[in-house]
Amino acid sequence: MTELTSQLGALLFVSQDPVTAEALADHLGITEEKAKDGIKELTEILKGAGLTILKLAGGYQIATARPLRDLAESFSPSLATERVRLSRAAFETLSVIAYNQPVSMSTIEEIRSVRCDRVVDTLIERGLVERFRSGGLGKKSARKYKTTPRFLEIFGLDSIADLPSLEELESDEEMLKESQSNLDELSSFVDNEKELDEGMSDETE
Amino acid sequence: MEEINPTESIEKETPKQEEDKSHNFVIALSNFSGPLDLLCAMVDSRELNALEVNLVEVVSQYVAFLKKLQNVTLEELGEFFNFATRLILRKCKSLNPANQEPEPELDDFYDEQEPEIDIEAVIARYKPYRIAATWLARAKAERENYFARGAGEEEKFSYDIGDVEFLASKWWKLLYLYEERMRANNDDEYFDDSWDEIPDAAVPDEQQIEARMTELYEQLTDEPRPLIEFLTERNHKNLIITIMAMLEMSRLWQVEIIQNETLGCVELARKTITYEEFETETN
Repeated sequence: MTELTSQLGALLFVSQDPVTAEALADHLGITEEKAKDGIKELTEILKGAGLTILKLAGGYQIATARPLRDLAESFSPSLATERVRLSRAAFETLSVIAYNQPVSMSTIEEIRSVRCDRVVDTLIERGLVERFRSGGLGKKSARKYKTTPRFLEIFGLDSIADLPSLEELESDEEMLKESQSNLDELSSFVDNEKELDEGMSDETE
Repeated sequence: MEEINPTESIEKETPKQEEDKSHNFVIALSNFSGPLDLLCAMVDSRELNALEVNLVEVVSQYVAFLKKLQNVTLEELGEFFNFATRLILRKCKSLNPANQEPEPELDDFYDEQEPEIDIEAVIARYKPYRIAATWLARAKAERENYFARGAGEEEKFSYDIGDVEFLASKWWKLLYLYEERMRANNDDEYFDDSWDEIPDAAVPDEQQIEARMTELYEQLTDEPRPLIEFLTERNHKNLIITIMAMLEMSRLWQVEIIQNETLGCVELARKTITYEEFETETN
C-alpha cells in the first residue's frame, strides 16, 4: 500500500456519501487521473479486507463486499430496516421520470393512466425525485420532476446514462418475462402506497 | 472499483397464482400498480390482442382486487371506472364500425370529457416503463447486497428548502401534537381559536399558495422592501401562506430574500437575473 492509497482510503472511509475523483484530487493536490489510478489500486487491496469500492452517482464509496452481505446484516440488523421500500407504482413512476426527465406530472399520468401526485410526493419525501427548477410561476400540472443523486445511489447507478434504453429492455426476453410475473418476491416491494405511508407515519411520530 | 451489475439473477419463488376455472383463466394475486398494469398482465397471460380481452372480466377482477385492499378510496375506484368506461366505448365502436351513427353536436360539457382511449397505443406506450420498473427493482436489490456507511441519526433528516409541502406536512404534524398535549393538560389559554381558519389538511391548500405567489410577484420591485409591507392581513393564515409562497418563489428564482443581520428585518426584492445567468456567472 502506498501513501496515496492510504490517503484515499482514509478520505473514502470518512465520507458518508460518494466522493468524486475530482474532489479527492483537489484535496490531495494531485491530478484526477492519479486519483482514479489510486482508487483502482485501493480496490484491489480492500478485496482482502472484505470491502470494495462502489462507483455510484459520479463518485466512489467504500462498501462491504457482496459475498459478505448476509454476515453484515446478521451482525447489524438495522441495516435491513434502513432500506428504502418502494411500491410497484413507485417503481413505475420512477421509471417514467428517470427516462423522460425533466418530465411533467401530466405526462407521467398520461403514460400510467392513473393519478400520480401521491406517488410522486412519496418519491420526493424519499429523496429520489425532486422538482425541476424552472422559470415562471409553475402551476402544479406544468411542474416538472427529475431524479436526484440519491436515486443513483439507491439504484447503484453511476449516472442516468447507465440505464438501459427502453428498446433494449423490450428486446430482453428475460426481463420481459420477469415483468409479466408476480414481482412481490423481489424484497424491495411493499404491498401498496398505503402500507408505505403507514410505515412512514410510524417512523416520524 | 466495483460496478453493480443489475442483471445478476435474483432467486425468487414461483408467484402465487389462482386458477379461475369457470373462465379457464389464470390470474396472479399481486399488487397491480393501476388499471394498465392489470390489463397488461391479463393480455400477457392470455396472449391475446388487447381488443379481444373480456372487459367484463377486467372490471370484475379489478373490483375484486380492490375489495381485498379494504381501504379503497373513491378516487381509486373513480380512476379505474373512468378508464374502463373509455375502454368499453372503444371496444363497442370496434365491434360495430358499420353501424356507428354520426356524432351528435357536443355542448361545452361533453367537450370537456376525455377522448376515448386508443388502448393499443396506450399499452404500447406504457409497457416499456413496466419493464423498466422491473429492471429498477432488480438494480435496487443488487445494490442492497453492499453496505456503505450511512449518515448519523442527526444527519438523516435533511430537507430541501424547496420542498415546501413536505416541510408544511411536518409543521402541521408538530402543531397537532402540540395541540393534543395542550388539550390533555386542559391548558385552554394556549389554544388559539384563530387556527381554525387554517386548512386542516396535512399541507396548506396549494391553490392558496399559488394565488399568493401571483399577488407577491405583482407587488415585488427591484428595490428591497420589508416583508411586513406585504403582510396586509395581520393573521396567522396570511403569515404562513405568505412565507410558503416566498420560499417557493425563492426556489423558482423569482424573489430575493434579504436579511442583513441576525434577527434583523427581512426584505424582499425581485430577482434581477435569471438562474441560467447566475450559473453562467458563477461557473
